[in-house]
Amino acid sequence: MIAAVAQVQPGQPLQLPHVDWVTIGPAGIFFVGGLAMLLAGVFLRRRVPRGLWSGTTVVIAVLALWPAFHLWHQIASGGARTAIADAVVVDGFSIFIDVVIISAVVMAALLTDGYLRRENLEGTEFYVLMLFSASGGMLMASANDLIVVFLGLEILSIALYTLAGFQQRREGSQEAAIKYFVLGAFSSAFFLYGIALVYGSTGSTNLGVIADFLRTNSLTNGLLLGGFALLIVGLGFKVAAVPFHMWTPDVYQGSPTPATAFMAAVAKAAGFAALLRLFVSTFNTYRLDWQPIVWALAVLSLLVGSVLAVVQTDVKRMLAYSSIAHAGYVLVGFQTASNRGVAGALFYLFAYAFMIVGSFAVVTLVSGRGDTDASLDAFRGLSSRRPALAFVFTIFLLAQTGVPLTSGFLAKFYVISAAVEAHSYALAIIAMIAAVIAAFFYLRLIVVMYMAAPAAEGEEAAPTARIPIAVGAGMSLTIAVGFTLVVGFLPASVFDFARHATLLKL
Amino acid sequence: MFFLRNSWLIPAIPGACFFLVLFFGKKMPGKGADIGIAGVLISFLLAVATAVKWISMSTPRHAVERHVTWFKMGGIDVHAGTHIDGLAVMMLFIVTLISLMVHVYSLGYMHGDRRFTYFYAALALFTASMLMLVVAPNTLQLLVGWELVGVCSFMLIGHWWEEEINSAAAIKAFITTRTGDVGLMLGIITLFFAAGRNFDIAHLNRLALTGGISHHLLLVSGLLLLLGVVGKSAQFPLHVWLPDAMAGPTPVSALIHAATMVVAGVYLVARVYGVFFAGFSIGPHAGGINWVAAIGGITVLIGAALAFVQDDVKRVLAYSTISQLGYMVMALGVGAWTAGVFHLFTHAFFKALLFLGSGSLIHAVHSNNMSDMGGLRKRMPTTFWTFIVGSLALAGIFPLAGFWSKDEILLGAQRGGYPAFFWVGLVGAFMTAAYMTRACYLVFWGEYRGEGHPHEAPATMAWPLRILAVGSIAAGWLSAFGFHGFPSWVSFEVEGVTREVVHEFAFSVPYAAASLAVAFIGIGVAAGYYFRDLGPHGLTRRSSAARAGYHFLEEKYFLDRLYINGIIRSIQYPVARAAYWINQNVIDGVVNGAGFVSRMAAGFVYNIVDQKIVDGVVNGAGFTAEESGGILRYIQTGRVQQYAAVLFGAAALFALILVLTTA
Repeated sequence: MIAAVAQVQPGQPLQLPHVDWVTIGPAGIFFVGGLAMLLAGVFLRRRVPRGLWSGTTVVIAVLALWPAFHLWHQIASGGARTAIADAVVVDGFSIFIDVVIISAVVMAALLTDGYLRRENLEGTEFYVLMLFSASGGMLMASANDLIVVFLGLEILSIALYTLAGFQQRREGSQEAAIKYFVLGAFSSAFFLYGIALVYGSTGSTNLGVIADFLRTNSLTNGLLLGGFALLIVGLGFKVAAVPFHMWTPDVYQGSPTPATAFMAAVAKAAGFAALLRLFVSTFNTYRLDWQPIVWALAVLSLLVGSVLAVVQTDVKRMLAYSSIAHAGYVLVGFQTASNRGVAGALFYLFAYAFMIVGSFAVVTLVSGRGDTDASLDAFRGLSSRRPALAFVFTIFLLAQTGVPLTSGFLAKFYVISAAVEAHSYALAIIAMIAAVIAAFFYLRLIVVMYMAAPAAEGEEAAPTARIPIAVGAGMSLTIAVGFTLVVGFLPASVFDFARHATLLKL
Repeated sequence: MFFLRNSWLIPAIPGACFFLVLFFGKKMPGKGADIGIAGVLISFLLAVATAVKWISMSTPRHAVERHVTWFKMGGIDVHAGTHIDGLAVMMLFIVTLISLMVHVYSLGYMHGDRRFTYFYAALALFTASMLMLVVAPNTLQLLVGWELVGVCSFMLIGHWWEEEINSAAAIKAFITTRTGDVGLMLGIITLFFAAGRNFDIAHLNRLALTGGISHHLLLVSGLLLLLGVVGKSAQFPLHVWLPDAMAGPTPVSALIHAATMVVAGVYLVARVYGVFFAGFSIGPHAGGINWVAAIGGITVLIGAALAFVQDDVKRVLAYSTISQLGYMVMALGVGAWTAGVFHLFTHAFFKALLFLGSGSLIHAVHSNNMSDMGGLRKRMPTTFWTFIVGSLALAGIFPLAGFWSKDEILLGAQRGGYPAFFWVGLVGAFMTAAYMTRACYLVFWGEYRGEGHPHEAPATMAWPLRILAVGSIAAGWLSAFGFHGFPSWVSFEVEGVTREVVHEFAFSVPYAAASLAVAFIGIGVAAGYYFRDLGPHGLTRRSSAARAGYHFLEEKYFLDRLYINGIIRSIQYPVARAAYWINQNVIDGVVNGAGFVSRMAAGFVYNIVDQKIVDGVVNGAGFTAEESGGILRYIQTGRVQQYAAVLFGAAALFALILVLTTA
């Protein structure tokens, strides 16, 4: 990163910029913490108490909250600013995304503990990869330079590819990793080419400089627009927006479920962070050019995600499609390019992170050793085997449906009201219709969980095996369900947080 | 003022009961029913006290509003609280009363049910949600209550979820009403912006009636809200869920039909009436038709027609509810606000009575079908007499409750400048009287056709019937013969608006006589057909036209088929499958193609470069390493951390060297 922004003059020694470490504190703590764990793992391999690594990850994540809070107060008093040779930006927006990612890491790490033990995969690598990946996501959120965005994207992605293939012995996991990697590499190439085009037409990769340039010059050639398109492709892939969503069901299904939970929450938050910053803030003067593209992406994501989820019989795939639909809602907020829209998108991402990690946590527990069975049938009669688990899952599903007194209702309400405010009535209507379609499969899953009916002929009987719930997974679920309900009842603080998490005006 | 100011307790107590029953219900002697009944009883007493206080206030009465800030959204304080006026007071009374009756009745009806405690918890939540909706001072709280009512109805309709048909009905109810909610939510958001970022209902009404919002916007948001009403209050063409919702336990049906859920839609229209009134230009000079009245009018007739062809006694009542809700919506549409609300009030008594009565029948004969009943008049006297009272009230026979409110609606339509809807109402009255006569005949007269020996319901079930029967007789007198009780207590008034919205028309003997005559003709015709075997029996066998008509009704105008085959299947099957196919084949093909190319390339690399060249080198190196004593073998153990440790160790070493040499 430093090399990317260093001022290199012929014949001069390299001028390094002043590095204000606190500004990249949260990402830094994750990165350094990951390194430390990696090394510690070598020496403590055999003599670790249960849950040490998971606990350490949680501690690292919580530690990262400290610079985040510090920066938040700094911004509140002194305003947003850029740092490290203008390569990173410190604003409420980046802090908000940091907090979303930190929350997702905490829940995913707690969930992973029991999972790894169940699968005989104990070790530090999973956690380390998660920390690295998350640090990449945070970097994307606070990047003020296209090259830094790309760096963050790659740090995020490469660790994710590995996480997807973490269960080496299972073919599905390998396939997921390869698919994700091959396609991810394509999308990175798109993104990079997009950077090149934007650089070519504006003469800089720095977002501030680009914004200034675009304010004073109106470009008529297609170069810049081509750049926009390619950037949207690259990031649209990360957030699983239709039509760049193809990998999502396969990868979500094949990956180890805690990794799925992690990538569903973190990759989406980071991808949207970059999208929002680039388009709403930097390319704001060209919003009439990019808004139609985002509009189309939103409509496609909403409808394709909801409709295709209906025909799924595997719960992981179903949740994958539903996460595509969720991306559609965030795009609805994004499309407005207004303050309310951005705040709505942020609120949605925050609420979504808890719902989706919670949902996948339930799937982790139910699908059993080896992640073998996440079909609808595996959930049949869950209420009689594990009433608490069924109840918790019901809450997550209702939240995803958008039922009041859960965070999901206010999240949907917020983005849709932003769309109405921006006079995007058609989009608001489509978003609501998608919610109705989506309600169908969420409810079907709820019904299946509460049906312990003796199976009809030709169907397999409901599974009866006991589902062990690891302590960490229990904690993870408690956090997720607690957030979902508390924010549903008392959303004031999170609303305020999202509202003050504004993008730095460039 | 205590009761008016603290009316938040009325929804809060059942809300608390929900948690208490859920967590402690199983340990209680009454398995949770005791908590639920006690809670609702307290709420009911509070509601009565509130009503007494409201009535004893000096006129003009002003709404009592209290609220706290729920959250801030974009600088706007969103409140949660209570807005108590005549309409709210009436609803609080009726909801808590019906809920109390249902709670008590369920003691007998649900006795020994496998999820008895859960049932009472859901009932408490259902009641609390509806009460929260009723007291809502703003549209957002109303929306929250509205959606929660939907969720609770999902839980209760699907109470016996083990049977596929019940859970399917629950999903259908939820999805259909949610289709309407698309409109409701968008309508609320549109009004929010139209009213200058304000959710407050009183403010909305005031702006709408004083021209603070453009007519165009009011029409759009009115139509959107109307869509929500159509879904929730089972109006044509989204009425299809209500008959299926009969799959739930009968006490739940009573609650849904009389006091919660379906009346929420009517209540919404009555509550934000300013928007509807101005948006749809309701009033005597409006040309005699508008969307609200038209939807209501159509629903009156199609609901009543369908009630004729049902065998399931609960379905007869379900279609009757659809038809009666049509009356209410129609009344509001023709500007007869008081009449519509009054009909909601009276209907609650007799429809709850009829449903609980039918529950008593079902409890006795273990079947929903009227073809398994018959001749129950002697065997179940309490049920018989109360059911007859309910039927007569529903048919609009003097001097029972339904007569007074239906008469007001007819009068309002005619005098209010909507004569077409007067005739719709009159035809509806005829049909209502006729289909209820048919139902009573099939259930109580003739020979018993079922199995076993039906017996009268236990006391916990009989007493609610008696109480509701008294209500069905008496409730209408609150507005009888021009007595100004109900209209003065419950009226639509918006502070700061002088424009007269609600017209009242004096009781008119000719109109009352006409509607009563029509009801008697309905009873007479049906009685002649069933009791005396008069008229063209076997018409459906002889005439193909009649058969076709019967089939058309039996198939519920083919609306269900249209929705299922035309809409749901078309999404579920071709569209979804095609999209899925493209997803799987085309896109995967591309991916696999890419994969194939990479595999070829990888194969080449693997076979030629890796195996032959690199391996050769590595083997050579390995050979050397082995030779040199296996020290280096430790480096290649397959453990990623060790690789990393070596890597970082080397990096640290180089850094150290760098620092040392430059310093």
